[in-house]
Amino acid sequence: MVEIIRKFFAFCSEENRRKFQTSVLLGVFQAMFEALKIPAIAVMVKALLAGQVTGRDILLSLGIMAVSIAGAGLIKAKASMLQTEGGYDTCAKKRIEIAEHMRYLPMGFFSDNSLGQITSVTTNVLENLENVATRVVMLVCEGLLTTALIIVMLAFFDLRIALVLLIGLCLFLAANTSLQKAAGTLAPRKINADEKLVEKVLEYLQGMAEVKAYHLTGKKSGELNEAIAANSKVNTDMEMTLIPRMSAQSLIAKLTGVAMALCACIFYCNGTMDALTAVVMVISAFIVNASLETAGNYSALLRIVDASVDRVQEILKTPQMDIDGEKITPENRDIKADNIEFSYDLRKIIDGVSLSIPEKSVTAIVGPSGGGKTTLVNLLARFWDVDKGTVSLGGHDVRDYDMDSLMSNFSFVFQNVYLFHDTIADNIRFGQSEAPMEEVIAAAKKACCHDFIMALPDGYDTVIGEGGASLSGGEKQRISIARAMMKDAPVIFLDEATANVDPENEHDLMEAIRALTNEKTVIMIAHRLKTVEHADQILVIDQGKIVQQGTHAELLSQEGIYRNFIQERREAAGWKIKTVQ
Amino acid sequence: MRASIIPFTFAMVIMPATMVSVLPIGGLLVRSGSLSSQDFVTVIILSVGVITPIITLMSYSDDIRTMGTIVNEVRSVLDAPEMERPAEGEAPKDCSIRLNDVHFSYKDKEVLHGITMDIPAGSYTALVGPSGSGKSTIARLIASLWDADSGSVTLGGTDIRKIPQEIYSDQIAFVSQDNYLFNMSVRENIRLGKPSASDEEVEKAARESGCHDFIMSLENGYDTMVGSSGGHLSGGERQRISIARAMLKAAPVVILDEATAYTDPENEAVIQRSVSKLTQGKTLIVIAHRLSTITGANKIYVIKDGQVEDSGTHEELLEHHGLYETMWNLHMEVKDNG
Repeated sequence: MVEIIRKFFAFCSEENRRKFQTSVLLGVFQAMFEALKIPAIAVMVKALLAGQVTGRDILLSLGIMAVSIAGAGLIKAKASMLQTEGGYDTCAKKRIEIAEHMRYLPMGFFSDNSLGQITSVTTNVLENLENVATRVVMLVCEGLLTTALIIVMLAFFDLRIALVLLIGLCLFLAANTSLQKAAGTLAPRKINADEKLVEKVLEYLQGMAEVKAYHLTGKKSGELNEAIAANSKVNTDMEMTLIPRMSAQSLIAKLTGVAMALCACIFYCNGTMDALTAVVMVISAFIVNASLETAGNYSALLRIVDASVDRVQEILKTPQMDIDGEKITPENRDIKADNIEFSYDLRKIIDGVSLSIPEKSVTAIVGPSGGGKTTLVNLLARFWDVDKGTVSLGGHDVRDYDMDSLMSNFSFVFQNVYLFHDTIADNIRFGQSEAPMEEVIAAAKKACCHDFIMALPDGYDTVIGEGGASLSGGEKQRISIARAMMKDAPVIFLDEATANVDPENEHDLMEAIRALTNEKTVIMIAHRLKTVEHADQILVIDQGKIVQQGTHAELLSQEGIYRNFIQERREAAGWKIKTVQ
Repeated sequence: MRASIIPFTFAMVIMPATMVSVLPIGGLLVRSGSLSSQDFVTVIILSVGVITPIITLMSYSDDIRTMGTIVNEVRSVLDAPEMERPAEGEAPKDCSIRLNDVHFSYKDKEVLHGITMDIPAGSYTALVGPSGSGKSTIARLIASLWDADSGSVTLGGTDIRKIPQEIYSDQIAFVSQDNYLFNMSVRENIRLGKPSASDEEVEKAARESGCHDFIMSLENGYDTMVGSSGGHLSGGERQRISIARAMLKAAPVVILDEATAYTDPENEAVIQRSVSKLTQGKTLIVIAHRLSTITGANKIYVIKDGQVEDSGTHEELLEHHGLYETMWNLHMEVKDNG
């Protein structure tokens, strides 16, 4: 029990840990104030035993109780405030930490861990922590501290009763350990079942159209129902296992109270304890019972806290790419790759590529799908690290840069553009929240976005639906170009817009790309013949290697993939879906 | 949360502190003689005993409020109107499709303002128009993914709301920009199109959709798991697998909604060749952005702002000198002729 509480504290940031520790300390004072009810009762009982209740007795007991309540109330309010702040802040920070951490994870992580798992950790698991953990940890701490305080207090009245309580507390802790152990084996199962459930629900909802189209209603809803049933079974199992242990624990708490009261009576009868002490002891027995039971009831939930902390730590422990580096401003933006290799699982995707891209030149990468074009670009931009060889920018290994100073050199325009649920202006500003509106509009105009943005209901202040749902593919791409325009980085990585545009957009998109790439170092995965023709350098990538390299004219004169590619492009452009009547 | 702490904690402290009232009031009662000392001691002991249940009650009380919110959220999902489809009914007689003055609103905004269209069985129809004009909405209505607010969509003369979902989905193969792949093997994903298909049939469909080569290069070939929502594959690869799946399904009505949007031109040629094989003799509805690919359609509908602006064959539309001509000219300007 103590171990888990310690683990939870270690999980929190320094600042929040201090908040929790302060609030536990405050809990001790609170317990002291609450324990004042014992002297208040003692005053009254003493008066009763004397057979004469005076106004002074009444006022005194009222006074003591008033101090007790005011003190405990104020302290508890402060302590709860600290706990709540600490709890929510810890989880907010952990969520940010996870998000930050994911930026630098190797790509393998995202295929080994399903979307359901990641979603579950950042939602369910952390929610467990922010709600359950803080409350449970605090209530358990408080319960135990109050009990300890009472033992000390009782020791002043009568050592024998204090001893009875101490034995009771030990038995209680033993029962609790057994409870924790049983819960310990179940908690990871519960979290697994939660993850599975989230995953199945996501799959069912996202694939709803397919579920309908391919008669999967039975099959897929069957899988979902199974996950729901399994989840409910795990939860039921957990309760079923815990209930008998919790009852045993609560029985021990109650029996301790009974033993205390019984001993008090016996000691009174054999004359070794006066009546006042005996009554106070009986009353203390009830108070002990209350605090032990509070601690006991909540302690079962500690295991969830334990497992949740583990789950979050597991993600945070996944090794990241090495992101420590220096702030470097390179003298030039020449990009070189020297015999680089990269494998994903066992599949070698880039196999010994060397290349040199001079500043302000245009390099087109072409080749069959699956040949490694996208991977190569990802390696050059250091989204992933090479297994062998080096990539350098301006003569410095990209791994020597710190992430931010490296990325400040690059802009990206890729196929799958993600726009944030925010205004158009902020989506274009992205990363430069201070930029004035004029600059945003200027970038939008250059990227041929201005007209369609003005046609939207609130112009630049229109909020884009999640995932950019309310804009067409071409429009989204142009906004991402405007974004790159704003950043004005010297190196542009471009996955040339494929067919993901409407006819009237296609023209504007080409304009926008032209404006963006003017006077820049451009590395593009190219599909359009016109752009390829005008590139300073064409790299033909197949099966992870550069198979051809040169200008359009040079490559066209050679037998090879490039010439075939040109041929096919001409055919595809002239192609149409035939009618069969 | 913070706002509720102060009243909440005071309640937590005061309520269990029954002593504050029991002691002085009891004392007064004893003094006035209406309460015996023995009874008072018992009362004191009992009021200490009442602490535990009160703490329990208090500490769970905000869970009860949370429960209320959750119940409401669940209700709002369960109360959402369902699409009404009969459990049993007749299969449609043929595969002609008709939209009759169809209106449709997305949230509060009407996006289709009375669309009427006649799509004869076995014909080839194209929908073109600026982005956001409502083309994809029309495709979704025909695919019975959404229901029209007013007006009707009929298949073979029967209102599609009267055709059981199962029967209807057998008639339609719908390939969109973002079809979903389930986290199972590539082979099983394609086989969804036709559960009885042999491995050879699956591979044939894959080959015809330009998937075979990249599938073979995956670590476990056809048995490679695609990851959740197909995350292990690129957008273009996912799209080709969903085309293979639709090919295998062999439904009499095929709807292609920008089905090759993420595909690079190198593969688009392969796919388009097989799409024309796939669609032989079928009712074909295509939403395309590359106008040059749909010039052969029997009828092209130009959709703008949720209305049919114009319709006809490619040649007829060019003669009308309208929106279609503008779009066509823009397209020709950027078209890639090498």
